[in-house]
This record gives sequence, C-alpha cells and structure tokens, in this order.
Amino acid sequence: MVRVIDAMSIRIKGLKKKFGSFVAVHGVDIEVPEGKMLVLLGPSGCGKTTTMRCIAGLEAPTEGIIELGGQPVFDSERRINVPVNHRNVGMVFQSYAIWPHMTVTENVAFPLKMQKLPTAEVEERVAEILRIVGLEQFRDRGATSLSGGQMQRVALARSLVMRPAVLLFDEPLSNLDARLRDHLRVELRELQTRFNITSVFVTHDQSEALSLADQIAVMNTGRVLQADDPVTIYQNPHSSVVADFIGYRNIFPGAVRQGGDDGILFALDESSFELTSVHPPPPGEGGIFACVRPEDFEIEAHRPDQPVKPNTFIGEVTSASFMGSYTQYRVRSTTGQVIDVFHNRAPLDLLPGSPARLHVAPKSVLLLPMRSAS
Amino acid sequence: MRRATVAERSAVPVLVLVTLFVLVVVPILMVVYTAFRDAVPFSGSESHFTLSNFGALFEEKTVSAAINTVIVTIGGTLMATAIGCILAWLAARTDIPFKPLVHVVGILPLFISMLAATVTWALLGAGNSAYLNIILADLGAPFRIEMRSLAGFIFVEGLYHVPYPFLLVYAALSLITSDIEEAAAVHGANQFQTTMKIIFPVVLPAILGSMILNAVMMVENIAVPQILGGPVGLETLSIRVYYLMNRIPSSPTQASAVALLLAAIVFALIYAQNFVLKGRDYRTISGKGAQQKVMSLGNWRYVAAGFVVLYFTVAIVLPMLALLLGALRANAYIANTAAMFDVAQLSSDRLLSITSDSEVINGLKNSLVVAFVTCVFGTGFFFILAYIVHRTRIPGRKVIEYIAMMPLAIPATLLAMGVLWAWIGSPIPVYGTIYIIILSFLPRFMPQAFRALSSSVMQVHEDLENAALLCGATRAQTVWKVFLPLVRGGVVSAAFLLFVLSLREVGGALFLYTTNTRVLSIVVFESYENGSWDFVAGVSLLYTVLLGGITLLGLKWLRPSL
Repeated sequence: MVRVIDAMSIRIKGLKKKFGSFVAVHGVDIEVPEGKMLVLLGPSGCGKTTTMRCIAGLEAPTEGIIELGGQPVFDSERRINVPVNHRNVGMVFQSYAIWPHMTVTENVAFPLKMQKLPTAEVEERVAEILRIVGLEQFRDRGATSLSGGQMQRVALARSLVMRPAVLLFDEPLSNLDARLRDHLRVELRELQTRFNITSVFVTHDQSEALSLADQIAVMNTGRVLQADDPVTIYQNPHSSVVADFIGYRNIFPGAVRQGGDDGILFALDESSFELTSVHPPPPGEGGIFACVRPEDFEIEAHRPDQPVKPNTFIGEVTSASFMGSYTQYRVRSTTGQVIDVFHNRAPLDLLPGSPARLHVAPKSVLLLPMRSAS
Repeated sequence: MRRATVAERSAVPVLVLVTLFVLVVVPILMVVYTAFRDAVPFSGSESHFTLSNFGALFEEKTVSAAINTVIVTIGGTLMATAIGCILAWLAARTDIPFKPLVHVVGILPLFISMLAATVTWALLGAGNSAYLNIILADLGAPFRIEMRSLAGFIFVEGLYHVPYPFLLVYAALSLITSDIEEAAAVHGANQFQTTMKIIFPVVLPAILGSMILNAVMMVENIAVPQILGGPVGLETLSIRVYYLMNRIPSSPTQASAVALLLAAIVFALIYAQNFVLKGRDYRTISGKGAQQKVMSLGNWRYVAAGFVVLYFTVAIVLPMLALLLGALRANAYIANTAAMFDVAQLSSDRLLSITSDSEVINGLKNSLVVAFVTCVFGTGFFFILAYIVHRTRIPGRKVIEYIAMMPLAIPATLLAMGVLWAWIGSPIPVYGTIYIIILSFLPRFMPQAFRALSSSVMQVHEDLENAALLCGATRAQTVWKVFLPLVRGGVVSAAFLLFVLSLREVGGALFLYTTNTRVLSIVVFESYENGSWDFVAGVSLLYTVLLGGITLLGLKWLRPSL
C-alpha cells in the first residue's frame, strides 16, 4: 500500500539572489499549497532554476524567506539557513544525476541509508518504489546500462523513496525524445497526485507546463510575471510577454483607435490594418499588442470575387506543414504581417503561393500591454 | 540547524592558502630577494641591497650560455615537434601497419629518464672512443659524430621530447570527427586541401601548445648540458646557475640573478603561449570520438613504417644496447667494433658490485621514500586544491588556482635554490634530511598533478553530488560515497604520475641533498663527475629498469593523466 506523504506547503517571500553584480532573482513571492504542483515557466536565464535551487538549499539566497510546511528553512533576517541535507527535499535533475558506480537498487536505497533506517525497511521500501516506477526487473543493473527514460525513473524513485517534504523537478524531461517525454509526463503527474507531494517543476516548454501544473508561474528576468492556474493563464494572460510564453504565436504592436459597443478598434503599427477586439486592455506599460493564438484563425482560400468579412487578413501562403492532427500554415498578409495558423480540420488545398484569407473572431483577439501594471 | 560561522567556513581556505604560500611563493621570493642582496639570507653575514649581481648577466660565459640556451631550445623543439607530429598523424589517420605499436613508440621515450638517455648518448657519440664512432671508424667513414656539441644537445633534446607533441597532436587529431572532413569534401575540397585547410588549422593549437611545453622543459633541462657539455665547457643557462652555486667559492647571489634571467625566458614563452593560443581552443568542436577516416598510404606505408622503426631504434634500441654494453664491459677501452661485441670482454661483476654499492642502495632507498611521500601528500593536498577550485564558491579559489599553476613558469634550479634558502634558516630542521627534497618536489609537480586532478574533478557532474546532498548526505559523506568512487581512476592516475615524476627528477633536488640524502638521480648525476663510466652506465641501467618496470606496472593507471 502506498503511503501518502504528509504534504507540506511552500511559501517564498521576497526571494532575491545575486551572483556578483548580476541579479538572477528579483524579489519573488510564491505559495504552493499542500500536494499541489507549481510549474515555473520561462526562457533560459529567467531565474526559474535559481529559484528552485534556493528551495532545495543548493543556493543561498541573498535575501528573503523560504518556508516548508510553515517552518522557515531560510530567512535572511533571522539568519536561518537549513543545510540542503537537512531539508528533506527531493529533486529530479535534467542530467538524471544517477550515480554510475552504483546499481539501481543502491541508487534508490541511498537516501534511506543516509537516514540509517534498518536494512529490512530499506529493502522493503526500495522494492515497493521500484515496482511503482516499473523498474523491478532492473534492480541489480548498473545504473549506466539504462536508457534515458529508465534513468529518469530511477531518479524519480530515489526522490520518492525518501518521502520528501517537497519534490523539485529541474526540466527532467528535456533530455528525452518526444514520445517518451509525453509518456513520462503523464506518469509523473499521476505519481505526484497519487503520493500527494507538493512539487515545483521547472520548464521552458509551455505544453509541458499547461499539462502538468495546478498553478503556473511565468517568469522572466528574475521576476514572476503572472501566477495562475493553467486554464486562466491560457485564456487570460495579463501581458503580451506572458501570452508569448504560453502559445500566442501572433503578437502585433499597435494602438487602440476607439472603443464602441461592438468592440474596440485596434490599428496595427506600420500597416493600414485594423483589428476588432471585445477585450479592453488591462492596465500596464510598454505599449499595447494584439495577441492571437494560431488555432483561433480560420483559414480558407481567398477568391477576390467573394466578399471579405471584417477582422480578416488577406495574404499569400508562404509555407504549409502537415502535422498530423493539424496543418501549420504561415501566411504573409498584404498589409505586412507574418501570421502562423494551426488548421485542425480537414487539410486544405493551400500550397505555398496560394492566396488565402484569415479570419479571427473579435473575442479571440486579446489586447495586452507588454508588462502588466501589478 | 545552525550556520557555520565565518571563522569555520574560512578556516580551510586560509589553511590551504598559507600552505600554498609557503610551498610556492616563499621560495620564489627568496630567490628574487637574494638576487638583490650582497649575501645569502640566513647565512649569518649581514646583507645589503645591491644591483651588482646582475653584472653576472653580462659576463661572457653567461651571454654565451644564454645564446646556447636559445639555439638548443629552438632546434630541439623543432625536431621534437616534427617527429611527434608525423608519428601522431601516422598513428591517428593512416593505414600504417601495426598501428597500436606506433602509438607505443610515440609515448615510450616518456618513461626513459632524460638523465639516463643523455648518459647513453655520451656513450654512443661523445668523442672518438664512443661506440658509434668506433663503428664509423671501422667502416672507414670519413666523419665522426660528436654529441658534445650544440648539435648533440639539440639531437638528444629533440629525440626524447617527442612524446609531448605526439600526445597532444594525437589527441587533437582523434577528436576531429569525420563530419567536418566530409563536409569539406562535400563542399568541393580534395584530400590535400582538406588536410591543409581543415585538419591543420584545427590541430595547430595543439602543435603550438606542445612546442611551448617542450621549449620550457628544454630551457630548464640540466642533464644534457651537465653530461654532454661538461667535458667541453659548453654551457646553457640552467647549468650556469648550477655552476655558480657549486663552484668554490660559490656565488649564490649571482646564481640568483642568472636564475631570474632563466625564469624570464620561461615566462616569455608562457606569455607567448597565452598570446598565440588566445581564442584558438577548438577542443569544444569535438564530438564523441566518432568514426574516423583513414588515409590510404599505398606503398608509402612501408616508408612510413621504416620511419617509425628508425625512430624507435635511435631513441630506444641503440641507447639500451649502449647502456648494457657500458655496464657489462670489464674494460672501458675498446679497440674496434669486433672488440665491442666480444663476449669475452663482458663481465657482470661490475654490475653486481653496483647493486650492492651502499651509495646506490642508499640512493634507491631515498628515491623511493621521497617519491612515496611526495605521492601521498601531493595527491591528498592537490586533490583538496582541485576540489576547492572547481567545486566550491569559496572566495580566494581563483588565487589558489593561480598559485597552483605558478611553478610551471619556475625553472627547477630556481625552485631548488629558493627552497634551500627558505628552509635553511627555519626553526624546523628539514635541511640535511630528505624532507627538504620533498618540499621542493611538491611545488615542482604541483601544476601537472593539479591539472590531472582538476580534469577528473570536472568530469563528475555537479548534480551527482547535489543529488546526494538532497538525499540527506553530509558534504563529507557526499565526497566519500559519491565523489571519490567516481574520481578514483583519475586520483590513482595522478598519484602514479607524481610517483614517477619524483623518481625521475634531477633539477628539483639540486643543492638540497647531502651525502646521506642523495636520491638515485643525483647519484647518477654526480658520479658522472667522478668520471667512472662503467659505474654511471651501470647505475643508469638500474635506474632505467626501475623506472621502466614501475611505469609498465602502472601504465593502466597512468593513461588518464597522459
């Protein structure tokens, strides 16, 4: 019987980390409730890995408070810094970090041996966890003879077996090939909910973030730009930078022309084109952008004799890639925009060079500032 | 759950820095200081500031020694580089027969001490009574070879420094994946153009790097000028320093000044290396030792094999035969070629008497103790250095790395002088014991061992240690259970390297030994001065067999450090 771990919440307040004069993390506040999975999403160098390493205790923050289960493990003012080996935090590394001189069993048993548990209990718990991650038949194998996916399972087992207060994932799937990645991602989420472990997962892959998270925190230049549940963040990003990270491939600068009952008119920069949106832009700075997801465009062949609806770009297909469940088109509009479209109905007869028209409903056009006000 | 205090956290780096300072920096400062004084520090006599020591630099003997040093270094480096590059290319990129043996031939001279090698070439080619000249005379050849000349210096230096260019260029060649050659072919280059425009530029840094390395070793070499140059008064700067120290009355302050000139030359070479190699490190282009294309030599493969055999014969076979002959001859006088190979003239008496000679046995014992202690302490200390530099964020780790690499630019003679003066006046009575030799060997081999250990430390991904810490292991447990098992191969290799280097070393032990604390290399070095060639040959033979045997035993472990 799988023992459900007594989950602990994570609370981070005012976390700052400097490396010399470089500020990697700029005052981050994060809360992860018990048993939930937080995904830190952002480009490389955005501070997400540094934030996670601070939770683990692998980096000492310059400033701030980190609490696990209500207990401070780091507090710059009270000069508390619990060493990494006393935090009871599990971590799955991008490089797997499987010890090559030990067998699978020895790798997984290591944390329990460090706790000086009786041999019988160690054996029992290791056998159980290896069964759960599906590695029973590899227990006596040298760790280096395993495939990437198997190594990552060993790493997961090694972290789970110690019944950690929280579990950290540092881009654990990025070294695996696409099929295995999907497979392991589902499994990982299953195990995390089954064991009810509070987790933090770092990635730069938006689909990974959306599918795994209870909560996503989008980070850039050392700050959390927006933290919300996946559905909210996907439907309602607060800024064009966040929209960019979670899959709004079409982002056009411009300016609001006029507001009206049937929508807001938005003029695209360096172009005669105007888009209508029903969403007034939230407060913010850095200019306003019209953001449209590629799957929200309807694409069809353009015939000059047919009337054109409003909110429709006219242009020429520059590339068409059949992706199986959808077709990806890139269209250059006559008004100068390059637009990506995912068409997920029956493939059209649109080859590069074909004239096409792209319609987007006003409710699918988000007008967003570059940075949100908060 | 308490934080380590500032004092606790800085205790280790401070201790390490102080040790490094005493081992490396103090001896160097002692020499610099002495060069500007009119008497040696701690000698009992009062000393004053002076610049007069530098007058020694303009003496005729020093000037000609400096010129000789430059000529020998350039000539020897060119010769070693040419042979090393050809061997490396043959071993890495052609279909030459018995390829693995070519590799062995390329590194074999590494395991022959320069001292013994020089002794053999004195036997083979110094003067008309040398073995090769006797054969030449009997063949009626109109010329004789003369090793006691600058050409002889160049020949011996060039012959035995081949392994360094060989190893570096071979490594560079084997890191080039076929991809980049195939890409050149696809884009229209023929084999020759590919070699000249792709391969050569990519291995050029390795060639230049090995040239500088060789040049530094040749500048500070002391065996060649002592054994080949001594009888005819042909000097290089390093032996000039030695003579200034050892002549009666000795001129240690002038020796310091000349040693600084020697150091300046080495420093210029290392500066040149940094300048030339800047931005030229192509090592990162390597893939994973992918399948390599091999060039078909056709009938030239026999010419190539002939070249390898010739090098092997000249560098190894002839010298070993000469050493055997020199050690086994009952009578040093040889009338002609027939007499040379006359079995009746051979006797093992002398060789046997050498094995029971108290001086030799004592030297052997000292050598082994010195090598063992240097190896144990060195490996431990340099491992801590490498770990601190590459695995911690302790402030001062850059300084540690800098000091650890510093002895690379310090000639052995200078270091030995500095160690002598640093410890002779210290309250710790190490002078006159073998421990002062160890105190010289530790800094001397620090760069090589530190580098070897650093590369094994860096090969272990940091996450492997972090994972253990996260599992609840302490830092000490992490090092013991995860880190050490993973670097064991590299550590053993570095320890072995230290052991062999200590056994071979001559220069670092100069000025530091007394009658009872001579190491084996010093026994050879000194006994040459007494002129009994059968003794020198016999001890050299023993020395070579000892080094060769130990190296063969440990070859498996030594590999990663080569």
